[in-house]
Amino acid sequence: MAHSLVGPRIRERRRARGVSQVALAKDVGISASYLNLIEHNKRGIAGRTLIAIARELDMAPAELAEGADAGMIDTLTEAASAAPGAGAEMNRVSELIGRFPGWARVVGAIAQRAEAKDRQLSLLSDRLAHDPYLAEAMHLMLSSVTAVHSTAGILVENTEMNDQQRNRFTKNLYDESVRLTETAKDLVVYFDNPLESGVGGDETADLLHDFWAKRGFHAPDLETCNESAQHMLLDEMGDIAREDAEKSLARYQKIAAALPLTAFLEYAKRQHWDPLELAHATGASLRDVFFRLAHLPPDDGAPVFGLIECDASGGVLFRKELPGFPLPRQGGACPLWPLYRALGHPGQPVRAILRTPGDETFTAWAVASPDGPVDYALPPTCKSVMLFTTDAALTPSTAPAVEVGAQCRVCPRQTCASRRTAFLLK
Amino acid sequence: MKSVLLIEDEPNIIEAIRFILEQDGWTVDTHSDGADAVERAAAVGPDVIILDLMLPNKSGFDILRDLRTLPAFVDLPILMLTAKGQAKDRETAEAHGVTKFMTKPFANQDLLAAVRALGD
Repeated sequence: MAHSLVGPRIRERRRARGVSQVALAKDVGISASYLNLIEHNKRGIAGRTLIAIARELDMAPAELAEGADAGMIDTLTEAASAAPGAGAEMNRVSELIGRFPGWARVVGAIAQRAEAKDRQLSLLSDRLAHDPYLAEAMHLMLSSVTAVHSTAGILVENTEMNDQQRNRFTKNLYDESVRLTETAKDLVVYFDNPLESGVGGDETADLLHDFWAKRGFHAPDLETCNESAQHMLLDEMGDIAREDAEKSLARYQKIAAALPLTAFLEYAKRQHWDPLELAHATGASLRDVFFRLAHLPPDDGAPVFGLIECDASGGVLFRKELPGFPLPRQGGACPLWPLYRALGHPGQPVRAILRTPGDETFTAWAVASPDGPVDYALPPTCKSVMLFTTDAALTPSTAPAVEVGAQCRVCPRQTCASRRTAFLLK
Repeated sequence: MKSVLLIEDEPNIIEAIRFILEQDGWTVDTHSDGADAVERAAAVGPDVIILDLMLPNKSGFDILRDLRTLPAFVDLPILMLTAKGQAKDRETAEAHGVTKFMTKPFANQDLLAAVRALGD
Protein backbone atom coordinates (compact mmCIF):
# COMPACT_ATOMS: atom_id res chain seq x y z
CA MET A 1 0.00 0.00 0.00
CA ALA A 2 2.87 2.36 0.84
CA HIS A 3 4.34 2.17 -2.67
CA SER A 4 1.04 3.01 -4.27
CA LEU A 5 1.65 6.62 -3.15
CA VAL A 6 5.17 6.92 -4.60
CA GLY A 7 4.16 7.42 -8.24
CA PRO A 8 1.66 10.21 -7.62
CA ARG A 9 4.15 11.88 -5.27
CA ILE A 10 6.87 11.90 -7.92
CA ARG A 11 4.49 13.29 -10.50
CA GLU A 12 3.18 15.99 -8.16
CA ARG A 13 6.65 17.05 -7.06
CA ARG A 14 8.00 17.04 -10.63
CA ARG A 15 5.12 19.20 -11.86
CA ALA A 16 5.46 21.57 -8.91
CA ARG A 17 9.09 22.13 -9.88
CA GLY A 18 8.20 22.62 -13.57
CA VAL A 19 10.27 19.66 -14.74
CA SER A 20 9.07 17.65 -17.72
CA GLN A 21 8.81 13.88 -17.59
CA VAL A 22 11.41 13.63 -20.39
CA ALA A 23 13.87 15.87 -18.55
CA LEU A 24 13.59 14.06 -15.24
CA ALA A 25 13.86 10.67 -16.95
CA LYS A 26 17.01 11.82 -18.69
CA ASP A 27 18.53 13.15 -15.47
CA VAL A 28 18.05 9.89 -13.62
CA GLY A 29 19.01 7.69 -16.56
CA ILE A 30 15.72 5.97 -17.36
CA SER A 31 13.35 6.26 -20.29
CA ALA A 32 10.48 8.72 -20.20
CA SER A 33 8.01 5.91 -20.84
CA TYR A 34 9.36 3.99 -17.81
CA LEU A 35 9.05 7.11 -15.64
CA ASN A 36 5.50 7.47 -16.89
CA LEU A 37 4.73 3.92 -15.74
CA ILE A 38 6.29 4.67 -12.33
CA GLU A 39 4.27 7.84 -11.92
CA HIS A 40 1.07 5.90 -12.63
CA ASN A 41 2.00 3.14 -10.19
CA LYS A 42 2.30 0.61 -12.97
CA ARG A 43 5.91 -0.14 -12.13
CA GLY A 44 7.52 -0.47 -8.73
CA ILE A 45 10.47 1.68 -7.74
CA ALA A 46 13.30 1.12 -5.28
CA GLY A 47 17.05 1.28 -4.84
CA ARG A 48 19.19 3.45 -7.08
CA THR A 49 16.32 4.74 -9.24
CA LEU A 50 14.38 5.88 -6.17
CA ILE A 51 17.45 7.60 -4.72
CA ALA A 52 18.23 9.29 -8.05
CA ILE A 53 14.69 10.60 -8.52
CA ALA A 54 14.57 11.81 -4.93
CA ARG A 55 17.88 13.63 -5.41
CA GLU A 56 16.67 15.31 -8.60
CA LEU A 57 13.43 16.36 -6.92
CA ASP A 58 15.31 17.59 -3.86
CA MET A 59 13.63 15.16 -1.48
CA ALA A 60 14.86 12.56 0.94
CA PRO A 61 14.34 9.05 -0.49
CA ALA A 62 12.46 8.07 2.68
CA GLU A 63 10.12 11.01 2.27
CA LEU A 64 9.29 9.82 -1.21
CA ALA A 65 8.99 6.15 -0.40
CA GLU A 66 7.32 5.95 2.96
CA GLY A 67 3.61 5.17 2.97
CA ALA A 68 2.04 8.47 3.84
CA ASP A 69 -0.47 6.41 5.55
CA ALA A 70 -2.57 3.43 5.13
CA GLY A 71 -4.75 5.00 7.81
CA MET A 72 -5.60 7.89 5.49
CA ILE A 73 -6.56 5.47 2.75
CA ASP A 74 -8.83 3.66 5.20
CA THR A 75 -10.33 6.95 6.35
CA LEU A 76 -11.07 8.09 2.80
CA THR A 77 -12.40 4.64 1.87
CA GLU A 78 -14.77 4.81 4.83
CA ALA A 79 -15.77 8.34 3.85
CA ALA A 80 -16.58 7.12 0.34
CA SER A 81 -18.60 4.19 1.69
CA ALA A 82 -20.74 6.66 3.66
CA ALA A 83 -21.71 8.34 0.37
CA PRO A 84 -22.21 5.41 -2.01
CA GLY A 85 -24.01 7.48 -4.62
CA ALA A 86 -21.29 10.12 -4.89
CA GLY A 87 -19.25 8.09 -7.38
CA ALA A 88 -15.90 8.47 -5.60
CA GLU A 89 -13.09 7.09 -7.77
CA MET A 90 -11.94 4.39 -5.37
CA ASN A 91 -9.18 3.22 -7.69
CA ARG A 92 -7.57 6.65 -7.43
CA VAL A 93 -7.60 7.16 -3.67
CA SER A 94 -3.82 6.75 -3.44
CA GLU A 95 -3.39 9.31 -6.17
CA LEU A 96 -5.59 11.76 -4.28
CA ILE A 97 -3.47 11.37 -1.14
CA GLY A 98 -0.25 11.58 -3.08
CA ARG A 99 -1.14 14.56 -5.21
CA PHE A 100 -3.32 16.53 -2.83
CA PRO A 101 -2.27 15.52 0.67
CA GLY A 102 -3.74 18.64 2.25
CA TRP A 103 -7.15 18.17 0.68
CA ALA A 104 -7.06 14.48 1.52
CA ARG A 105 -6.48 15.41 5.18
CA VAL A 106 -9.39 17.88 5.04
CA VAL A 107 -11.76 15.25 3.60
CA GLY A 108 -10.51 12.70 6.13
CA ALA A 109 -10.97 15.09 9.05
CA ILE A 110 -14.50 16.00 7.94
CA ALA A 111 -15.40 12.33 7.53
CA GLN A 112 -14.05 11.48 10.97
CA ARG A 113 -15.89 14.39 12.55
CA ALA A 114 -19.13 13.32 10.87
CA GLU A 115 -18.66 9.77 12.12
CA ALA A 116 -18.04 11.00 15.67
CA LYS A 117 -21.21 13.13 15.51
CA ASP A 118 -23.18 10.13 14.24
CA ARG A 119 -21.97 8.08 17.18
CA GLN A 120 -22.84 10.84 19.61
CA LEU A 121 -26.30 11.25 18.07
CA SER A 122 -26.95 7.54 18.27
CA LEU A 123 -25.88 7.54 21.93
CA LEU A 124 -28.13 10.48 22.78
CA SER A 125 -31.03 8.96 20.90
CA ASP A 126 -30.57 5.72 22.81
CA ARG A 127 -30.53 7.60 26.10
CA LEU A 128 -33.67 9.55 25.22
CA ALA A 129 -35.42 6.30 24.40
CA HIS A 130 -34.55 4.79 27.78
CA ASP A 131 -34.96 7.75 30.10
CA PRO A 132 -38.09 7.04 32.20
CA TYR A 133 -38.79 10.74 32.83
CA LEU A 134 -38.55 11.65 29.18
CA ALA A 135 -40.59 8.62 28.14
CA GLU A 136 -43.39 9.68 30.48
CA ALA A 137 -43.12 13.34 29.45
CA MET A 138 -43.32 12.41 25.77
CA HIS A 139 -46.31 10.22 26.44
CA LEU A 140 -48.07 13.06 28.26
CA MET A 141 -47.29 15.54 25.52
CA LEU A 142 -48.55 13.18 22.83
CA SER A 143 -51.73 12.58 24.80
CA SER A 144 -52.31 16.31 25.11
CA VAL A 145 -51.51 16.88 21.46
CA THR A 146 -53.98 14.12 20.56
CA ALA A 147 -56.72 15.72 22.63
CA VAL A 148 -55.97 19.18 21.18
CA HIS A 149 -55.84 17.86 17.61
CA SER A 150 -59.03 15.84 17.88
CA THR A 151 -60.96 18.50 19.79
CA ALA A 152 -59.89 21.26 17.39
CA GLY A 153 -60.96 19.00 14.50
CA ILE A 154 -64.38 18.53 16.07
CA LEU A 155 -64.82 22.29 16.52
CA VAL A 156 -63.82 23.03 12.93
CA GLU A 157 -65.72 20.16 11.31
CA ASN A 158 -68.99 20.57 13.25
CA THR A 159 -70.21 24.09 12.71
CA GLU A 160 -73.80 23.11 13.61
CA MET A 161 -72.83 22.12 17.14
CA ASN A 162 -74.97 23.62 19.93
CA ASP A 163 -73.45 26.24 22.24
CA GLN A 164 -73.22 23.93 25.23
CA GLN A 165 -71.21 21.38 23.27
CA ARG A 166 -69.06 24.07 21.68
CA ASN A 167 -68.28 25.64 25.05
CA ARG A 168 -67.37 22.28 26.53
CA PHE A 169 -64.97 21.41 23.71
CA THR A 170 -63.48 24.90 23.79
CA LYS A 171 -62.81 24.49 27.52
CA ASN A 172 -61.25 21.06 26.89
CA LEU A 173 -59.04 22.64 24.27
CA TYR A 174 -57.93 25.32 26.73
CA ASP A 175 -57.30 22.78 29.53
CA GLU A 176 -55.18 20.61 27.26
CA SER A 177 -53.19 23.60 26.02
CA VAL A 178 -52.44 24.53 29.66
CA ARG A 179 -51.34 20.97 30.43
CA LEU A 180 -49.19 20.89 27.31
CA THR A 181 -47.57 24.18 28.29
CA GLU A 182 -46.84 22.98 31.82
CA THR A 183 -45.32 19.73 30.61
CA ALA A 184 -43.18 21.66 28.14
CA LYS A 185 -42.02 24.00 30.94
CA ASP A 186 -41.18 21.01 33.14
CA LEU A 187 -39.12 19.58 30.33
CA VAL A 188 -37.19 22.82 29.97
CA VAL A 189 -36.45 22.78 33.72
CA TYR A 190 -35.45 19.14 33.42
CA PHE A 191 -32.92 19.92 30.73
CA ASP A 192 -31.73 23.12 32.40
CA ASN A 193 -31.02 21.43 35.71
CA PRO A 194 -29.11 18.27 34.97
CA LEU A 195 -28.03 17.59 38.55
CA GLU A 196 -31.55 17.71 39.88
CA SER A 197 -33.06 15.88 36.98
CA GLY A 198 -30.55 13.20 36.27
CA VAL A 199 -29.96 14.37 32.71
CA GLY A 200 -26.30 14.69 31.97
CA GLY A 201 -25.03 12.17 34.46
CA ASP A 202 -21.81 10.32 34.44
CA GLU A 203 -20.50 10.02 30.93
CA THR A 204 -18.29 7.05 31.78
CA ALA A 205 -21.13 5.13 33.44
CA ASP A 206 -23.28 5.80 30.37
CA LEU A 207 -20.60 4.66 27.96
CA LEU A 208 -19.94 1.52 30.00
CA HIS A 209 -23.66 0.82 30.14
CA ASP A 210 -23.95 1.19 26.36
CA PHE A 211 -20.94 -1.07 25.82
CA TRP A 212 -22.36 -3.87 27.98
CA ALA A 213 -25.94 -3.43 26.78
CA LYS A 214 -24.77 -3.91 23.20
CA ARG A 215 -23.33 -7.29 24.25
CA GLY A 216 -26.37 -8.39 26.25
CA PHE A 217 -24.28 -7.95 29.42
CA HIS A 218 -22.32 -11.07 28.62
CA ALA A 219 -18.80 -11.44 27.18
CA PRO A 220 -18.00 -15.07 26.23
CA ASP A 221 -14.41 -14.11 25.44
CA LEU A 222 -13.83 -12.92 28.99
CA GLU A 223 -15.00 -16.18 30.55
CA THR A 224 -11.44 -17.45 30.20
CA CYS A 225 -8.21 -15.50 30.75
CA ASN A 226 -7.99 -14.56 27.11
CA GLU A 227 -5.65 -11.58 26.90
CA SER A 228 -6.11 -10.99 23.19
CA ALA A 229 -9.89 -10.88 23.66
CA GLN A 230 -9.42 -8.36 26.42
CA HIS A 231 -7.28 -6.19 24.14
CA MET A 232 -9.85 -6.40 21.38
CA LEU A 233 -12.62 -5.35 23.75
CA LEU A 234 -10.46 -2.52 25.06
CA ASP A 235 -10.05 -1.30 21.48
CA GLU A 236 -13.83 -1.37 21.09
CA MET A 237 -14.13 0.70 24.27
CA GLY A 238 -12.13 3.49 22.67
CA ASP A 239 -14.54 6.20 23.84
CA ILE A 240 -14.20 5.16 27.49
CA ALA A 241 -11.30 6.31 29.65
CA ARG A 242 -8.72 3.53 29.52
CA GLU A 243 -8.56 3.05 33.28
CA ASP A 244 -12.35 2.73 33.59
CA ALA A 245 -12.52 0.34 30.63
CA GLU A 246 -9.79 -1.84 32.10
CA LYS A 247 -11.50 -1.85 35.50
CA SER A 248 -14.80 -2.91 33.99
CA LEU A 249 -13.27 -5.80 32.02
CA ALA A 250 -11.07 -6.84 34.95
CA ARG A 251 -14.06 -6.99 37.25
CA TYR A 252 -15.91 -9.23 34.80
CA GLN A 253 -12.88 -11.48 34.39
CA LYS A 254 -12.25 -11.70 38.11
CA ILE A 255 -15.82 -12.76 38.86
CA ALA A 256 -15.88 -15.13 35.87
CA ALA A 257 -12.70 -16.77 37.14
CA ALA A 258 -14.04 -17.05 40.71
CA LEU A 259 -17.42 -18.36 39.56
CA PRO A 260 -16.78 -20.39 36.36
CA LEU A 261 -19.86 -20.37 34.18
CA THR A 262 -20.68 -24.06 33.78
CA ALA A 263 -20.26 -24.90 37.45
CA PHE A 264 -22.06 -21.72 38.50
CA LEU A 265 -25.07 -22.51 36.30
CA GLU A 266 -25.27 -26.00 37.80
CA TYR A 267 -25.09 -24.61 41.34
CA ALA A 268 -27.63 -21.93 40.47
CA LYS A 269 -30.16 -24.44 39.14
CA ARG A 270 -29.66 -26.60 42.21
CA GLN A 271 -30.11 -23.59 44.54
CA HIS A 272 -33.17 -22.41 42.55
CA TRP A 273 -31.26 -19.23 41.60
CA ASP A 274 -31.38 -17.92 45.15
CA PRO A 275 -28.44 -15.49 45.42
CA LEU A 276 -27.87 -15.99 49.13
CA GLU A 277 -27.83 -19.80 48.81
CA LEU A 278 -25.46 -19.40 45.87
CA ALA A 279 -23.13 -17.21 47.92
CA HIS A 280 -23.10 -19.83 50.67
CA ALA A 281 -22.53 -22.66 48.23
CA THR A 282 -19.73 -21.01 46.28
CA GLY A 283 -18.08 -19.00 49.04
CA ALA A 284 -18.30 -15.89 46.87
CA SER A 285 -19.54 -12.54 48.13
CA LEU A 286 -23.20 -11.79 47.59
CA ARG A 287 -22.22 -8.81 45.51
CA ASP A 288 -20.19 -10.99 43.12
CA VAL A 289 -23.05 -13.48 42.90
CA PHE A 290 -25.42 -10.62 41.99
CA PHE A 291 -23.01 -9.45 39.33
CA ARG A 292 -22.61 -12.99 37.95
CA LEU A 293 -26.36 -13.56 37.78
CA ALA A 294 -26.80 -10.31 35.87
CA HIS A 295 -24.16 -11.31 33.30
CA LEU A 296 -25.28 -14.80 32.30
CA PRO A 297 -25.59 -15.81 28.64
CA PRO A 298 -29.03 -14.71 27.47
CA ASP A 299 -30.15 -18.01 25.95
CA ASP A 300 -29.38 -20.73 28.47
CA GLY A 301 -32.77 -20.83 30.16
CA ALA A 302 -31.67 -18.88 33.22
CA PRO A 303 -34.01 -16.25 34.70
CA VAL A 304 -33.26 -12.77 33.38
CA PHE A 305 -31.85 -10.50 36.07
CA GLY A 306 -31.44 -6.71 36.13
CA LEU A 307 -28.91 -4.97 38.34
CA ILE A 308 -28.15 -1.53 39.68
CA GLU A 309 -25.13 -0.49 41.71
CA CYS A 310 -24.80 2.82 43.52
CA ASP A 311 -22.44 4.60 45.87
CA ALA A 312 -23.38 5.87 49.34
CA SER A 313 -24.85 9.04 47.86
CA GLY A 314 -27.13 7.05 45.57
CA GLY A 315 -25.10 7.93 42.46
CA VAL A 316 -25.54 5.19 39.87
CA LEU A 317 -22.32 3.33 39.07
CA PHE A 318 -23.66 0.49 36.95
CA ARG A 319 -27.07 -0.46 35.63
CA LYS A 320 -28.79 -3.17 33.66
CA GLU A 321 -32.47 -2.47 33.05
CA LEU A 322 -35.30 -4.93 32.57
CA PRO A 323 -38.52 -4.20 30.68
CA GLY A 324 -41.01 -2.66 33.10
CA PHE A 325 -38.30 -1.60 35.55
CA PRO A 326 -36.57 1.51 34.22
CA LEU A 327 -33.44 2.66 36.02
CA PRO A 328 -32.22 6.24 36.39
CA ARG A 329 -29.00 7.19 34.63
CA GLN A 330 -27.62 9.03 37.61
CA GLY A 331 -29.57 9.03 40.85
CA GLY A 332 -32.89 10.01 42.34
CA ALA A 333 -34.65 6.67 41.95
CA CYS A 334 -37.50 5.50 44.18
CA PRO A 335 -36.28 5.72 47.81
CA LEU A 336 -38.27 2.58 48.64
CA TRP A 337 -35.97 0.37 46.59
CA PRO A 338 -34.01 -2.14 48.73
CA LEU A 339 -30.90 -0.69 47.04
CA TYR A 340 -31.09 2.27 49.42
CA ARG A 341 -32.39 0.34 52.44
CA ALA A 342 -29.29 -1.85 52.23
CA LEU A 343 -27.04 1.20 52.62
CA GLY A 344 -28.35 1.64 56.18
CA HIS A 345 -27.12 -1.80 57.22
CA PRO A 346 -23.94 -2.70 55.34
CA GLY A 347 -23.44 -6.45 55.08
CA GLN A 348 -27.08 -7.26 55.80
CA PRO A 349 -28.80 -8.70 52.70
CA VAL A 350 -32.30 -7.47 51.94
CA ARG A 351 -34.95 -9.24 49.90
CA ALA A 352 -38.23 -7.63 48.88
CA ILE A 353 -41.13 -8.10 46.52
CA LEU A 354 -41.69 -4.91 44.54
CA ARG A 355 -44.85 -3.92 42.72
CA THR A 356 -44.48 -1.24 40.05
CA PRO A 357 -47.16 1.30 39.05
CA GLY A 358 -47.64 -0.84 35.93
CA ASP A 359 -48.67 -3.69 38.30
CA GLU A 360 -45.65 -5.81 37.49
CA THR A 361 -44.08 -7.78 40.31
CA PHE A 362 -40.32 -7.99 40.74
CA THR A 363 -38.28 -9.82 43.33
CA ALA A 364 -35.26 -7.81 44.42
CA TRP A 365 -32.23 -8.59 46.55
CA ALA A 366 -29.79 -5.96 47.75
CA VAL A 367 -26.66 -5.74 49.80
CA ALA A 368 -24.30 -2.91 50.68
CA SER A 369 -20.68 -3.58 51.42
CA PRO A 370 -17.47 -1.64 52.04
CA ASP A 371 -15.44 -1.12 48.91
CA GLY A 372 -11.91 0.19 48.60
CA PRO A 373 -9.09 0.78 51.07
CA VAL A 374 -9.78 1.20 54.79
CA ASP A 375 -8.31 3.86 57.01
CA TYR A 376 -8.37 4.55 60.77
CA ALA A 377 -9.49 8.09 60.19
CA LEU A 378 -12.23 7.52 57.62
CA PRO A 379 -15.31 5.32 57.36
CA PRO A 380 -15.08 2.82 54.50
CA THR A 381 -16.46 3.68 51.10
CA CYS A 382 -19.71 1.78 50.75
CA LYS A 383 -21.49 0.56 47.62
CA SER A 384 -24.89 -1.00 47.33
CA VAL A 385 -26.04 -3.44 44.67
CA MET A 386 -29.57 -4.55 43.87
CA LEU A 387 -30.43 -7.56 41.73
CA PHE A 388 -33.98 -7.97 40.45
CA THR A 389 -36.10 -10.23 38.27
CA THR A 390 -39.70 -10.77 37.22
CA ASP A 391 -39.32 -14.55 37.33
CA ALA A 392 -42.36 -15.69 39.29
CA ALA A 393 -40.63 -18.91 40.37
CA LEU A 394 -38.23 -16.84 42.49
CA THR A 395 -40.93 -14.82 44.22
CA PRO A 396 -41.77 -15.94 47.76
CA SER A 397 -45.52 -16.47 47.75
CA THR A 398 -46.12 -15.23 51.30
CA ALA A 399 -44.16 -11.97 51.36
CA PRO A 400 -46.20 -8.77 50.96
CA ALA A 401 -45.24 -6.55 48.05
CA VAL A 402 -43.82 -3.05 48.47
CA GLU A 403 -45.41 -0.54 46.11
CA VAL A 404 -42.53 1.26 44.41
CA GLY A 405 -41.97 3.44 41.38
CA ALA A 406 -39.07 4.46 39.16
CA GLN A 407 -38.65 8.14 40.05
CA CYS A 408 -41.10 10.44 41.86
CA ARG A 409 -41.57 12.58 38.74
CA VAL A 410 -42.99 9.64 36.81
CA CYS A 411 -44.64 7.79 39.70
CA PRO A 412 -48.42 8.10 39.95
CA ARG A 413 -48.57 7.02 43.63
CA GLN A 414 -49.75 10.43 44.80
CA THR A 415 -50.10 9.57 48.50
CA CYS A 416 -46.69 7.93 48.87
CA ALA A 417 -45.04 9.16 52.08
CA SER A 418 -41.62 8.98 50.42
CA ARG A 419 -42.54 11.32 47.59
CA ARG A 420 -39.79 13.89 47.00
CA THR A 421 -41.06 15.78 43.96
CA ALA A 422 -44.44 16.21 42.31
CA PHE A 423 -45.75 13.81 39.70
CA LEU A 424 -45.22 15.13 36.20
CA LEU A 425 -48.89 14.64 35.30
CA LYS A 426 -50.77 17.78 36.23
CA MET B 1 -77.05 0.16 16.55
CA LYS B 2 -73.46 -1.05 16.89
CA SER B 3 -71.48 -0.43 20.02
CA VAL B 4 -67.91 0.47 20.91
CA LEU B 5 -66.18 0.03 24.25
CA LEU B 6 -63.53 2.71 24.61
CA ILE B 7 -60.87 1.80 27.20
CA GLU B 8 -58.93 5.03 27.66
CA ASP B 9 -57.89 7.11 30.66
CA GLU B 10 -57.53 10.61 29.17
CA PRO B 11 -60.88 12.39 29.79
CA ASN B 12 -60.60 14.84 26.89
CA ILE B 13 -59.66 12.13 24.42
CA ILE B 14 -62.59 10.07 25.69
CA GLU B 15 -64.94 13.00 25.14
CA ALA B 16 -63.63 13.66 21.64
CA ILE B 17 -63.84 10.03 20.53
CA ARG B 18 -67.26 9.61 22.08
CA PHE B 19 -68.52 12.65 20.15
CA ILE B 20 -67.04 11.48 16.84
CA LEU B 21 -68.49 7.97 17.12
CA GLU B 22 -71.90 8.94 18.54
CA GLN B 23 -72.36 11.37 15.67
CA ASP B 24 -71.82 8.42 13.37
CA GLY B 25 -74.50 6.40 15.13
CA TRP B 26 -72.41 4.25 17.46
CA THR B 27 -73.27 3.50 21.06
CA VAL B 28 -70.16 4.30 23.10
CA ASP B 29 -69.33 2.83 26.50
CA THR B 30 -66.15 3.96 28.23
CA HIS B 31 -63.84 2.57 30.87
CA SER B 32 -60.69 4.15 32.32
CA ASP B 33 -59.04 1.59 34.60
CA GLY B 34 -56.92 -1.25 33.30
CA ALA B 35 -57.47 -3.44 36.37
CA ASP B 36 -61.05 -4.49 35.62
CA ALA B 37 -61.18 -3.66 31.91
CA VAL B 38 -61.61 -7.32 30.89
CA GLU B 39 -64.58 -7.75 33.25
CA ARG B 40 -66.10 -4.54 31.91
CA ALA B 41 -65.69 -5.74 28.32
CA ALA B 42 -67.37 -9.03 29.21
CA ALA B 43 -70.28 -7.15 30.81
CA VAL B 44 -70.76 -4.71 27.91
CA GLY B 45 -70.28 -7.15 25.01
CA PRO B 46 -69.30 -4.51 22.42
CA ASP B 47 -68.97 -4.96 18.64
CA VAL B 48 -65.60 -3.17 18.63
CA ILE B 49 -63.10 -2.30 21.38
CA ILE B 50 -60.79 0.70 21.24
CA LEU B 51 -57.97 0.06 23.67
CA ASP B 52 -55.34 2.48 24.94
CA LEU B 53 -51.94 1.02 25.77
CA MET B 54 -50.82 3.06 28.79
CA LEU B 55 -53.59 2.56 31.34
CA PRO B 56 -53.51 2.71 35.13
CA ASN B 57 -53.03 -0.62 36.92
CA LYS B 58 -52.83 -2.85 33.85
CA SER B 59 -51.31 -2.28 30.45
CA GLY B 60 -53.25 -2.47 27.20
CA PHE B 61 -51.03 -5.37 26.11
CA ASP B 62 -52.05 -7.43 29.16
CA ILE B 63 -55.73 -6.57 28.66
CA LEU B 64 -55.48 -7.56 25.00
CA ARG B 65 -53.78 -10.84 25.86
CA ASP B 66 -56.39 -11.65 28.52
CA LEU B 67 -59.29 -10.76 26.24
CA ARG B 68 -58.00 -13.08 23.53
CA THR B 69 -58.13 -16.03 25.93
CA LEU B 70 -61.91 -15.59 26.35
CA PRO B 71 -64.08 -17.32 23.72
CA ALA B 72 -66.29 -14.24 23.27
CA PHE B 73 -63.28 -12.06 22.41
CA VAL B 74 -61.15 -14.38 20.31
CA ASP B 75 -62.28 -12.76 17.06
CA LEU B 76 -63.66 -9.45 18.31
CA PRO B 77 -62.20 -6.45 16.45
CA ILE B 78 -59.83 -4.61 18.78
CA LEU B 79 -58.25 -1.33 17.77
CA MET B 80 -55.21 -0.38 19.82
CA LEU B 81 -54.78 3.37 20.00
CA THR B 82 -51.53 4.52 21.56
CA ALA B 83 -48.98 7.28 21.83
CA LYS B 84 -46.32 4.55 21.85
CA GLY B 85 -45.90 4.04 18.14
CA GLN B 86 -42.52 2.34 17.97
CA ALA B 87 -42.14 -0.72 15.76
CA LYS B 88 -41.64 -2.98 18.78
CA ASP B 89 -44.92 -1.79 20.32
CA ARG B 90 -46.75 -2.56 17.10
CA GLU B 91 -45.08 -5.98 16.94
CA THR B 92 -46.03 -6.72 20.56
CA ALA B 93 -49.62 -5.68 19.88
CA GLU B 94 -49.73 -7.93 16.83
CA ALA B 95 -48.25 -10.81 18.80
CA HIS B 96 -51.03 -10.35 21.37
CA GLY B 97 -53.69 -10.48 18.66
CA VAL B 98 -54.60 -6.86 17.92
CA THR B 99 -56.84 -6.30 14.89
CA LYS B 100 -55.62 -2.81 14.09
CA PHE B 101 -52.92 -0.57 15.56
CA MET B 102 -53.17 3.24 15.34
CA THR B 103 -50.92 5.85 16.84
CA LYS B 104 -51.85 9.09 18.60
CA PRO B 105 -52.35 11.78 17.52
CA PHE B 106 -54.88 10.63 14.95
CA ALA B 107 -57.08 12.42 12.42
CA ASN B 108 -60.74 12.14 13.44
CA GLN B 109 -61.73 10.90 10.00
CA ASP B 110 -59.05 8.18 10.07
CA LEU B 111 -60.25 6.93 13.43
CA LEU B 112 -63.85 6.90 12.27
CA ALA B 113 -62.93 5.05 9.07
CA ALA B 114 -61.00 2.46 11.07
CA VAL B 115 -63.86 1.83 13.50
CA ARG B 116 -66.36 1.61 10.64
CA ALA B 117 -64.16 -0.91 8.84
CA LEU B 118 -63.78 -3.00 11.99
CA GLY B 119 -67.52 -2.88 12.67
CA ASP B 120 -68.53 -4.10 9.20
